[in-house]
Amino acid sequence: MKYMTNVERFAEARGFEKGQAEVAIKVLMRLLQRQFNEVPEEVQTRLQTLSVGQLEGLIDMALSAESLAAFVDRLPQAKPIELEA
Amino acid sequence: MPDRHQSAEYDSPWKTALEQYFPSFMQLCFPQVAVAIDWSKPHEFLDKELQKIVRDGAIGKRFADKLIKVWLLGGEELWLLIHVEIQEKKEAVFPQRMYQYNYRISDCYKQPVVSLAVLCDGNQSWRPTSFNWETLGCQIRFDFLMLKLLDYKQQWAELEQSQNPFAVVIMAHLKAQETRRNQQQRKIWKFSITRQLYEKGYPRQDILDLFHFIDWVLKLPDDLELEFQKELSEYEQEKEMKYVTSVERFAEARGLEKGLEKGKAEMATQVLVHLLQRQFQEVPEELNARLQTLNVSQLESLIDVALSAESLAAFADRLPK
Repeated sequence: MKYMTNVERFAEARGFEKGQAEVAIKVLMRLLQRQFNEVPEEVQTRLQTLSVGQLEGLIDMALSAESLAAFVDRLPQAKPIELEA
Repeated sequence: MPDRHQSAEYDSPWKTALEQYFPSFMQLCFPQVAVAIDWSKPHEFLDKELQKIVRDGAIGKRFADKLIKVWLLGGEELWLLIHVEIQEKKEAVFPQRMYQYNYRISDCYKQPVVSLAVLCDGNQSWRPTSFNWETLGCQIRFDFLMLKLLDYKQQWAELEQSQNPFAVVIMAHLKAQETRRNQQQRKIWKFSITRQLYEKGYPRQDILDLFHFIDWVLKLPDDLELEFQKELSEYEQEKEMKYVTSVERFAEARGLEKGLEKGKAEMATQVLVHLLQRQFQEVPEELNARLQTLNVSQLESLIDVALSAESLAAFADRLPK
């Protein structure tokens, strides 16, 4: 039978978000490195706790931040708890 | 969800179930016909022959139909047309359509056809069994066999007892209909009917196939579906019959992988377009379309290009060919 099971559908949605977050973090790190050279590991760790929506919002912030410290200061708190599957 | 989609969703699991469990279906639903069939001879699904009729007639497609060749105990060939009417609203033209199908097939293939209607709707009183037309002493009368799935509600205990795999299909359908507005109840029934598959001791492949039908018609909202999956996986673990769980582990890996790639490409494109818009305002549709064709690593390597490009044209020049 050819159809996507619910398990597969759910997994795809989870994977989609994970993929989006991965690229967003990569881009953010790249933007920060371009401007401030060294970017400590902790920044990446902090970014990994954020949701896709939050990460998207940070791209403009990263482009206009006057310093790395200022950027880190304005990072939102970790994403709200989500259903773990 | 609109009714149209509803019936489309029920449509193909029905077809698959009919194909897979045809003898069981006949024995359970039309025993009076089943006894006349010689089951030791193979039956044959005449999809192409049916398609031709449907296309020619341009009749709607809101139902699952099967045309099947069987052999009678007397040795004659017989064609059966099974028409599963899935849609919820009763239709005045239905008996006429039953007549047209029967006539068209016998006309086109010179084969007598026995027509069977399976009505899946929830209307107790809609029970068409014939098409009649009469004008000035000229008359057509066409009788067909009809089964109302709703009637099985009164025989629920027998369905539960039955070893006939099609009983599971009917139970799942009835509960899907009954719990349309009560998702919590629907989850309970989904689990209960699925559990019966293991309790009745069906072989692994039957469990998987019947589960597909159940899973398809008893759709749950995401949160309840997750709860259901958890319960089922615990149940399978306890029973040491990891059928659905093990098949779905592959499905899960496949889904994750596919989602991951899509998510990455989606975000990379989005970021690129955003960066370009920041610098050059408008991003033309063609450029957008070209970005859609690139893979994730190509897109990622364009981020730096986008940040340092002097113009949109300069950026477009650097796109991979």
